[in-house]
Formats: sequence, structure tokens, C-alpha cells
Amino acid sequence: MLTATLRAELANIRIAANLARSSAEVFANTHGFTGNIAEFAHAFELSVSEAFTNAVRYGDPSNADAVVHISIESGPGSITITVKDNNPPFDPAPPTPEIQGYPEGGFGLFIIGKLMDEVKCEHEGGGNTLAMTKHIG
Amino acid sequence: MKSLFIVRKSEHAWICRQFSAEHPLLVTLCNKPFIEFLLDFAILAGADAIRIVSDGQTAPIEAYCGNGSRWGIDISYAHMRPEDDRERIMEKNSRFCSEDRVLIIEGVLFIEHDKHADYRSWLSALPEGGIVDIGSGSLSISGEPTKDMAVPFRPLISIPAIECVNDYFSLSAATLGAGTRYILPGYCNEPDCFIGRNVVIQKGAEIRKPVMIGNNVQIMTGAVIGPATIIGSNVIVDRESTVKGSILLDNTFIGEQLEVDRKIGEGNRLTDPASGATLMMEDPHLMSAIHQPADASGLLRQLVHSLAATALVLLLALPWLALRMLPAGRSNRNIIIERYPLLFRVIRGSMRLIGSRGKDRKNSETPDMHIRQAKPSVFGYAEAEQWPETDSDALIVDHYYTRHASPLKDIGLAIKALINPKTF
Amino acid sequence: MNIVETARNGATVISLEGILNAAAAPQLKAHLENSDPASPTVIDLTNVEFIDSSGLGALVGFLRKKKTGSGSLKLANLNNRVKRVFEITQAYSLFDVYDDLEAAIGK
Repeated sequence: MLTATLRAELANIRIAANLARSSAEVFANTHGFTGNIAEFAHAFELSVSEAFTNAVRYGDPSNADAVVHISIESGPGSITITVKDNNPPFDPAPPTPEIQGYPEGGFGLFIIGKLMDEVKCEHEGGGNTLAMTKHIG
Repeated sequence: MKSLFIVRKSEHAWICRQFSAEHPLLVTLCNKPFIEFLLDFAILAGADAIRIVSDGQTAPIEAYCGNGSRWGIDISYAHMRPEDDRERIMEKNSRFCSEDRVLIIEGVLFIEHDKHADYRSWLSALPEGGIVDIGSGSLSISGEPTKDMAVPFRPLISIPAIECVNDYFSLSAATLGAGTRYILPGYCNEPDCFIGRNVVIQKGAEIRKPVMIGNNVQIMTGAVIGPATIIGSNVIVDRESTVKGSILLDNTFIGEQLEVDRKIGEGNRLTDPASGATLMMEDPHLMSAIHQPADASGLLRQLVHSLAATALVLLLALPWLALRMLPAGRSNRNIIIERYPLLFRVIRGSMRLIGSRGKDRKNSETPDMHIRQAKPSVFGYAEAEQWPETDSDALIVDHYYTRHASPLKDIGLAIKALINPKTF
Repeated sequence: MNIVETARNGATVISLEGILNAAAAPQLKAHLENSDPASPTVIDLTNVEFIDSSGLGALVGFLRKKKTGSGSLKLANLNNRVKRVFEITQAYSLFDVYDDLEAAIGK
């Protein structure tokens, strides 16, 4: 398992997303993934980008020491990336924005749900844990 | 040459509803999705790059066709707006369309063609413009002809109108009947007979040509298949049933001694193509999901369960208190004692006395979504029947009773569960 | 992220380059705020390496502004990574998407 703790700020979104992409790429390369590896890795890059953005956006702006924990765990046939924050609980199943209304946001969890095979969302110990899993084979 | 497929989601919307397909081009005709027939034709016509343009989701087609490497061509995908006309679409795809001739296939699910005909030289001599137009769909070519020569004799090419389920039905029969014209899936050692992988045809079963059978199919003793029948993948035709002039789509089960004549079967639904009427078949093998019946007797049932639970609570109060004193983990802490506290929930109405246990089955792959929405229960139907507690068997029993349950049956099964020696 | 704006054939061409996420979205929004809502605009996405819903949100907001100002907005050269975000969110149904910058600009 690989873990990283990043300060909850916008500039770190890219670092988290890159970490997710390269981990997924290595996982796919070493576990006999037969599909499109770039696409597989992009799914994690995008999902973590969305999850980290939410963690920063809904955090307490006055708390300069707020952090977000990323952990990457892989099994024989699956990889899970978890994003953990210290924010108040959020609605794990928000309504899907209606695109015809020109929404400027609210797509984060929807996109994650579309890209991942499994999404687990929990609120415990004063923070949210969003575990995103993809299976291979 | 290149080819542009223009697909509007409003066209053919009925076919998606009829066949529960994600995309009209993924509906199968003779065990092969429409999109593959279109690709076959475009390749025969000489296309080495194909772009599929849609005003809806392209992801389902992309998941099926990928980048086209399976066919040795390049397939790309693009989006358009519903109001875009052909000219606008060409403009939006001008990089793809430039420097080449483009065969434009618009609003078409299927093109009648012949794999032996030479479309390549015919098309390369054809002047720019329309080729076939049936109103709802058309075939046209853009760009100047590559060869300056007389246009050769026109090979077989026509667009059938597919506007209702009967059109689809007759097109299926015609395509199967003209099987040598198309590239059809399955092993074929004689004309008009295509057989897939892992097909079991039991002794005494009869196959009459023309027929097409998919993969993982079982034809049981005494069954008669054909003539003019298309069977998809994962299909079972049980003993002594007759299937003729019909289409059985993937995952269909035909029970014993049934006669299926000129019907379309999918899952447990039979459709009569001529009238469009549908019929749901009894589904003892549970190949489709269970739906909770509309609960008209819900209140009565609730009352029965609550009363029975109250009686049990009173009856078992003393033994429960006595046994609770004993250390945990002893063998005499039997089922009823363990579940005693749950009885109060039954009285409150948040649980049932008997029903589907469905406890550790959250990750089960069987279609029990509907069952999960039912209230949890203290005793399972499978337990009452003393069915072996392996998950899949118990699930089948639970499914059966969930479907066929009534307050009276519930009482009977609750008594059965209670007199079960394991309970006490 | 880099934003380069040029005027061509009476159209404003805005070329975006790099990562279009929540960190870059405010910069893009600020840039688009200052543009004329009535002029035809083409956004060239050739060099967008990555976009997420925050970046898409900035584009959708700009499109809405264009619609109310009766100006036109076209997008050109979406790579597969960008296309995927448009596909999932169905944003393709809002935008006019071109596969070639010259065709989007027009004659």
C-alpha cells in the first residue's frame, strides 16, 4: 500500500491526479491488464482529480493545516485508490446535474461513478473516505 | 476511401425499447449486431477508416467496436447536435473527410448487400451524390470519382425500412435465408446451417434448416428447432418443445413441451411480431429478475406477522431470559434464542417473521436486486424448507417464495420454520 | 495552463494548453469574462492535456454567456481524454464540436 498526505489546496490536485495515473499505469502493466492502459489510467487520474477537488472545495477555508490523505492499494485483480478528508459529511448520491441547464459543477461524484467499478463512500472519524476501485480481467 | 456513419438517437428509438439494447446499432440481427453488418459493407466498399457520428452516447458502440483493429480498419467517434444537417456534419468532421472520397451512411441500420459483389470499383467510378435514399435513411458519396471510367453494373444494394418489430422479424428471416451473402457468425459446414460454440444437441432432438444457433445453447431431447429459426447465445430449449420460424434472443429459456411459432423470445418475454402483443413466460429457472408483486395484501400480511411475533415473544420470554444467563457460544444457544430480539422488530413492522433472509448476499451476482428491497426477515424460506444452506440453493428457494408468497403460505412456512429441530 | 488569444477571419480563437482543472479554472474564467459575448469564438483544445469537471464547468459557463449574448462558440480538436469527459457528462449535446480548427473558424 502506498500512502500520501497532501495539504488540501488547489495546487495539489494535479499531484494527486498524477500519482493516481502513474500508479494505475504501473498496476495495469504488471497485472496482465489486456485493455487500453492509457484509458484505464486516465479513469483514475480523472476520478482522483474530482475527489481531491471536492475535498479542497468543501473543506474549512480558515484551516490552513487541512490535509487530504491518498492511499493506493492493489490486489491480484483490482486496484483501489482512497481519498480521505476531514470535512463534514457529503451526500454520496447527489442528483445528476441536467446538462441542458448549463450546470457549471456538480459532476464530480457522477463522473467517478461512471468510471469506477466500485465506489464506497463513508463518513467516519470526522472525515469522508471515498474508495474507488477498478477490477481487471 | 473513408466512411461516415451518421446515427441520430431519435431514429430507431423503438428498437432500443423493444430489445433492451443500449444502442440501436447494437441490436442483433442473425446473432450479429447491426453495426457489424454496416462495418462489413463499408469494408467491402473499400473503406479503411470509419467515423461514427452521433448526437447521443457513442460509448456503448465504442465499447463494442473499439478502434477497429478487429476489422483491420480505423474507427473513430464524434459527436454532433441533433439539428445538424449532413453538410454541417461534414464541416464538423472536415479533417476526417478531406482529401478522400467519403461514403456517407445516414440513418441506416442495415444495408442489403452481397459479400461476393465488387462494390469497390463500382463506387470508385460513381459520381458524387446520392446512391440510395429511402427517406428515413440514405447512402451517398462525396468527393470526385478516383477513376474516370464508365460506371459498371450496379451490384445488389438496398436499404430495407425497419420501422416496427415485424420489419425486423421479416428482415431476420430474409437475412438467414440469404446467409451466403453475408458474413454470419457460427460454424457452417453446409449452407443455411450456422452453429456456434458449446452447443449441446441431445439425442432425439431435431434441427431443420435454415437455422442459426449461437454459443452455449442446449437443445434437449425431443426438441425440434427450425425451419427458419435463429437462436442466440445462452439459450435452453427444454424437452419436446418446438421452435419454428422464430427468433430466440440471448438468455432465453423455453420450457418443456412448448410450441413457439413465429415469435420473438427474449429473456422470458415472447413477442408476436405480427400484432406486437407480448406474453411473459413462467420462469422457473429464474433467468430474469424477480419483481415483488404489487402488495395489495401488505397490510394483512403485516398484521399476521406482527401477531405471530407477539405470540412468540410472550411464549419465549422466560426460556430466553433463562438461556441468556448461560455463557455465549454454547450449543444450546439455538436459532430462536439468537434471533429473539429480532422479534420485536417484527412487531414494530420493520422486519418480517418469514421471508427472504438475503443476509450475506449483498455481493451476490444473482439478480436479487428486487428481493433486497423487500423487508428483511427473522426466518428464511429456505430455512423453513430445511433446504441446504448453500447460498445459491437457498437463494432460489427464497426467490420462489418471494414471488409466490401470500399471508396464508407465510403462516404455514413460519410453523414449518418453528418446528424445525434446528430452531429449538 | 496557457491561454493564447488570436483574431482570425473575424473570429476570436482561444487556444488552451495544459491542465484544465480546478486550479486552472479561475484563470480561464477570468480570461473568458473579458471577452466580447457577441463575437464568434473558437476554443482550440488541441493542446489540452487533461480536463476535469471544473474545467468543463468553465467552458459551460462561457457557453451560457455566449448564448445569452447571441454569440457563437465552437470547440475544435478534442483529443480522446477530453472527449471522454464530454461523453460522460453529455456536454457534447451543448457544444458544436469540430475536428479541425480551420473548419471551425470558417472562411
